[in-house]
Amino acid sequence: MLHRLKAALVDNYVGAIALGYLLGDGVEEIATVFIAPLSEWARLKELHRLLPQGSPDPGFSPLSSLPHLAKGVFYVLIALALLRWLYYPAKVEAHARPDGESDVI
Amino acid sequence: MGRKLPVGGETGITTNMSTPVNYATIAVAGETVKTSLRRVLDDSHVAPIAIALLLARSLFEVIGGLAPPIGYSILGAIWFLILTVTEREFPLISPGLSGPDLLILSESISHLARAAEYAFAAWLLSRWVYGQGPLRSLRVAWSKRRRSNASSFEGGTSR
Repeated sequence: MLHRLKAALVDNYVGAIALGYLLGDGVEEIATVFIAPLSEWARLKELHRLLPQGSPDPGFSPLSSLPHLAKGVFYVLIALALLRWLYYPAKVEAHARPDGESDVI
Repeated sequence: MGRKLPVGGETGITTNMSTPVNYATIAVAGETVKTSLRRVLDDSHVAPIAIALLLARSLFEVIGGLAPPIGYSILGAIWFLILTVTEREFPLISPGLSGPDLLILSESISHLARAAEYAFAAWLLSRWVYGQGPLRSLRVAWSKRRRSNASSFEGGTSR
């Protein structure tokens, strides 16, 4: 049953599309880790301009990227686990003989 | 039962769901080779799909970011023309940005920032898997897929 589900997911590319979506989301969250502190700082700076004088100046805080990092790592780990379940074990097909005949080992 | 995936170079990967092996062995050399994650990501089409999705999202965000200011500007220009024609003089334009202008601008900037995030993510993934830019890697994956389709078609007709 599970084997048939696996075969269907691989053969119809549904698994590849779902995994691509998940992996893309994960990598996007990891990319956000670098951009989130900058955008957060810019937003707080803008807010600080509207607030009355004397309020503390917002600093550059890398803590705002922690949720993105956790989310990204979680997504990527799930994607890799599913990839392992769907596409592994894999075996290498090598051109073993010099005359060009290939063997599936 | 194993499904053959596109083969490239000297060695190719074949997924084999029935054979319980974790590592592939090259018989002649006699050494054990662990299949590369990048290779599996490429051959299973997961990486090209992820890169294409990220690029598409980036494009949509760019469109979403540019459409409101452009639309608002066109509406402003039309309104300006209507006022000029009806009043028979140029309407007074306040210098600087008004409230709605700022709102649209901030919305547009957040869309463009997200577009940059998606594009950066696509670039990261494609550099990791293919070692080149996203568009070039998509082209490589597409040509590989076409080649494998053509070879499987030829194999089917020759039988």
